[in-house]
Amino acid sequence: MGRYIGKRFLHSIFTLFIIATVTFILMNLMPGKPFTGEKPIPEEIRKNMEAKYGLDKPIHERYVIYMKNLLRGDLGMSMVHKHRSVGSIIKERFPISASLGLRALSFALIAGLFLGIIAAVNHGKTWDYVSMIIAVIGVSVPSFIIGGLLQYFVGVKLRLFPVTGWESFKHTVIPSFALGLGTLAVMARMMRTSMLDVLNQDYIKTAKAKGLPRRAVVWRHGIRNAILPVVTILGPLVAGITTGTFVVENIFAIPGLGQFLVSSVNQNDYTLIMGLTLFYSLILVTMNFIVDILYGIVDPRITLVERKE
Amino acid sequence: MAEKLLEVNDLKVSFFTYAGEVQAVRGVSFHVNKGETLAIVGESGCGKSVTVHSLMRLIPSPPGKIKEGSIIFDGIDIISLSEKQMNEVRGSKMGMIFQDPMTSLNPTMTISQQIMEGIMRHKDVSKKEAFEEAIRILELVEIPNARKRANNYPHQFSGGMRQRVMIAIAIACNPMLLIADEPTTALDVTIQAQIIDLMKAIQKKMNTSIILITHDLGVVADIADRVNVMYAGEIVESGTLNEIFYDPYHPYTWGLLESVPRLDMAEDKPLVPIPGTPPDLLDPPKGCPFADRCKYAMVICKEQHPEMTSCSKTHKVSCWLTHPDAPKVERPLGGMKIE
Repeated sequence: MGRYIGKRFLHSIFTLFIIATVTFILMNLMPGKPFTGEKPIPEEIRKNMEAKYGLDKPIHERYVIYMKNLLRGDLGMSMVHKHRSVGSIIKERFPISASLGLRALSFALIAGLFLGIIAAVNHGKTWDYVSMIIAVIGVSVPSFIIGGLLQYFVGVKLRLFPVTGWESFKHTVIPSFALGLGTLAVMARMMRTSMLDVLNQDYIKTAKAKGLPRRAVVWRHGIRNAILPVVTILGPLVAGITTGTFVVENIFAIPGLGQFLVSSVNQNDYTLIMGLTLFYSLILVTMNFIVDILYGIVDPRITLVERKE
Repeated sequence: MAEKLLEVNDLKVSFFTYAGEVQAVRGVSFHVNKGETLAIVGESGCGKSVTVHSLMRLIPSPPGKIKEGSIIFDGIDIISLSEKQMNEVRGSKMGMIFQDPMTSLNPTMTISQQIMEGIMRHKDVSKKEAFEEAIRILELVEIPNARKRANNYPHQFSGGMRQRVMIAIAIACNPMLLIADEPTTALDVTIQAQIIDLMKAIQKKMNTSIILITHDLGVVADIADRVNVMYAGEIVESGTLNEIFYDPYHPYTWGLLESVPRLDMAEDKPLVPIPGTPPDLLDPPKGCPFADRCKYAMVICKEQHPEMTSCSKTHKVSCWLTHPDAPKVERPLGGMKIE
């Protein structure tokens, strides 16, 4: 077990290294440079600024410097946001994005799995169709439309929840719903497929032949087996939903991290691009890492220990 | 006269599909006595599995449905029971062993858990007592090191061992009837023999009745007391083991016997397959279902369904050849003698 985790950990580090390198190269291939904004800056000032941020050095030197700093955990200073380090931006804004993401995820997970199970157990009946209609809507309607509609009907018309902002629990309800609906749909569909598959397995028949009530058959024998494939996509999903909050953050004026990722690319804020890309990659890699280990716990057939013989 | 444990009368089971009604079982009647073994033989799709699944009401519904008939088991009318009452019978009075031991055990539960589940469902015992009982049953089905192995998962067992575990699950509550749906088909020959021997030993110990489904006539000869031959959703011939093997009347039974090698057969005599395919059960023929493949078929065979006629007290057959006016045909297995 320890050996496997260690090996898997090294893989993760290597993945991050590759991501850092490729992003660094791609970023430098982008047209434009930091400080080439809409307003032209005098040549001299631009040169001074480039020197200050080390941009006057050739790319391979900058790469080495950046990687060295990265090893020390230093993501550098933002080139656009004055006097702010990339680290401090992440520290300040990420908790908000993460909170929104996790709320959306818990909602999506609980409701999605539930819908999927209901659909599978009532295969071909009304509840199956109802949950699949919800799932289709969730997959096909983008979050900004759901968000906008909810703002108008629930926020403006019914005045049940505040329309924008990020202050109290009430503020979090509509954005979490809007953000989570897509994931909920994916979850519901996956769980349904997986559950239907499991319910047709021979061991379900064995369980029925033991005289177990339907409830026990579905819960004890069905769900645990059906949830396995769903666990696999949980990693990317968690990462996706905690980092993919950009649109929803914009609609609801939530001061999260998402907007920085997009604006940093637009503004050629090299350090911020690198910092956020690596940060998001770290989350993704970590989640996959956790899911791999989790999988071994849920499914006894998977041994994390390498065989010695 | 032996006591009847199970009596099935005119059982009809259909599956309602998009293409129409598939009449999988078309009026089947048979009985099982206490402590005896009944084998049901026939080719794939002839309705043997559907028949025995109906006995435990395990037909997926929809699309399947028991349309007509009665199943009287130990004095209880199975068909009229509610699902809840049925669950009291399943596992406690009837146990079932399935074909493929590789897929019939839950991969995420230890085998002791899977055996205990049934015990705790039907008996008023503590978890600890149920565990001890599970160990005892694992020892009964000859799992070596039962106590140690009890906490293993199915994937840690071989196919034959898993089938033993399946048997353990099925007999956990001392059922009166053990239904084995092709229990040896997925196993290799040496393991097959072991499993059959085990079933015989358990039957002796617990005085269980067994219904064994198979298409392996060797297995039938080894264990069965009586045999039902099924074809296209009907029983075409039924009788004691000796009657079916040495004095068969139905051309389909002849065909089955001719298509397997036997020790008393001349070495150069080729095996004879039965030509053709079974009829479409979406639209079953009105006459004898075997008429199209039968080389002895007469005009009436396609026109009118033959009645079940008795050849002896225990031997029944549904074939026009047994009619007094029918021409005498030489049975292809003429050289065989009743032992």
